[in-house]
Amino acid sequence: MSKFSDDQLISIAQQHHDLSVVVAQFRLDRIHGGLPLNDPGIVQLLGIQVSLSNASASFFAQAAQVTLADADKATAQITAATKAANDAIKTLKVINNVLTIGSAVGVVVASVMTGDMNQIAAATKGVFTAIGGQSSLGKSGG
Amino acid sequence: MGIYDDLDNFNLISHGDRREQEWGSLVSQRFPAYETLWNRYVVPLTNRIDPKILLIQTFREPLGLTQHAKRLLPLFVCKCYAGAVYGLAEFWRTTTLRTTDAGSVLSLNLTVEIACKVMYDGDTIEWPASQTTAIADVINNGLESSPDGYLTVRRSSLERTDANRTFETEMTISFRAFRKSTICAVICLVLVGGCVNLDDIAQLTKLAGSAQQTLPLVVADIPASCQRQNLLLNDIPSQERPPDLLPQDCKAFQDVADHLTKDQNVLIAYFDALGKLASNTPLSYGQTIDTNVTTIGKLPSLSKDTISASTAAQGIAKVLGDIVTQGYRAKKLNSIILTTDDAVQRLTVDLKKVVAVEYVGILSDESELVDTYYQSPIAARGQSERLALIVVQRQYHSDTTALNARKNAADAYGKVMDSFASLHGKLKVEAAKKASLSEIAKEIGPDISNLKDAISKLQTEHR
Repeated sequence: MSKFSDDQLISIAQQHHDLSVVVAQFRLDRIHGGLPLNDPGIVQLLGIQVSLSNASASFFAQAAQVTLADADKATAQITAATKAANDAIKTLKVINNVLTIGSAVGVVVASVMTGDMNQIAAATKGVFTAIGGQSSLGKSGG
Repeated sequence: MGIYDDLDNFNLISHGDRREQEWGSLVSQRFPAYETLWNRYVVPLTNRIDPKILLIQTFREPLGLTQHAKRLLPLFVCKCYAGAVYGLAEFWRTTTLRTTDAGSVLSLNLTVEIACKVMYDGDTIEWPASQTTAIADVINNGLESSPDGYLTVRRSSLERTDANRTFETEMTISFRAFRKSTICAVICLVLVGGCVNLDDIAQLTKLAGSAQQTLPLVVADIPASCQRQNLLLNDIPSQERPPDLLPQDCKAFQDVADHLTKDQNVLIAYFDALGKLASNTPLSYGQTIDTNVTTIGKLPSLSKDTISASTAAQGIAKVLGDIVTQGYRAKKLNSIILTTDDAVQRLTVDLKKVVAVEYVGILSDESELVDTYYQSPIAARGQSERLALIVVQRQYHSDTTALNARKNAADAYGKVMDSFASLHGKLKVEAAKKASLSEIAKEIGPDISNLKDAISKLQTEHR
């Protein structure tokens, strides 16, 4: 990792870019002045310009790495918070299933009072369905 | 002796409690006068001195089908154990019977308690004041004595105990029977009045989804810029460039993109989870209970009282569910937002910097190379190349426009990060005030709208 801060690296990158722009303009002026593109001086100027530009881009990339390294601690904290939120959502799902099963049991109780075996069977099936939902939740971990 | 004159009328079989009767049968074998001792001393010392009252019995037991009140009161017992979380909601019945020595009933008081407890590791659940009031309304105001005897509220109490790691609230309602129309109307009112419009907060999840679709397009262009620059250099005829000019190594740019993608995914996942936690999205018990109420109403051969009681129990369960889940969500949200805000502010600033400053710097280098790539041959062109010049200038314009669109997209990316930071800052303020979910939703509405606009702009710029 670079010993420079991201701001320092951005500044260095910007200076390289500015120099590259100056060299490019100088080269273009020479071309406008009549020098051919394969003139050794023009070719050399292109090499300098591209090297400066590449160095600039490289410094920008290094600055980005330093910035992102700085963000790593924040990222770790946010990841922990996301886990806490997702755990809370899982708990809510469990409460949801508790209420669903409890409600289904209420239907069974009412159906028992009817004395109708078909109603009781249907209501009991509802409880199994509700419990099945909870079981599959447990299997899926969520 | 006055009221103690009739102590001889007390006997173990009729007036002793279970333990006294058991002891009496054992002790009297060696100590025949035990019953005399008992009615002379134990009876007055245990305050059983009113000669008119032969018996006061109190039973507190969970409601079940075996109890004589089963035709009035449906069973509702549910328990759950999930890791460190323990939830319990149940109905208890307490019967207090007072009779005279002639055997006539002085009073019979039937009390039903709906106890709801939720305990979880490390924290307590806050019971929102508004919901407490709503339940109190159900008990105190909504249910009146009626001449047809369907419903009588005798006594109600709401107690709140915040003990370490445990939150417990107990409500007590006494009644003879529920009257369906009244309690349904009241519960419906509570649900409508107590429900929070969480649409605004829930939008966080949708926006996180949009961001998940859009932001990676910007990030993917970081190594793509490097590759485009290499292609341009490669297109320059070999006699016009130095032989030792090597293409850029794009690995460093790819590493930046990978790291950035990972970090922005963390941010998006966080806001997605926040939206889900704030909204009712994962919960379906409300609809299930509504369906079950309809089912109970359609059951044949069921008395009006039973339907009323069953329906009311389902409704109360729904209200309790709302209270528990909303209180839990608000508590968790507040805690998470307060502890995470600094990290969110830091990360959004850093992500914005990488894209809006550092990536834009890389684009500036690319822009300079594009200018060189087109302007050099245009400047060196011969007069006979007019038609070729027109084609080249159009291509140059097209490449420059695409590059400007990428810079605008980077700017829009920065605004998305600003919106995320601003939104979370607002959430923190509301969390510190312990605002309700509805208040939070109201406050962050404009910020949600800004974030939505910023993501839409980014989508437009990147087309």
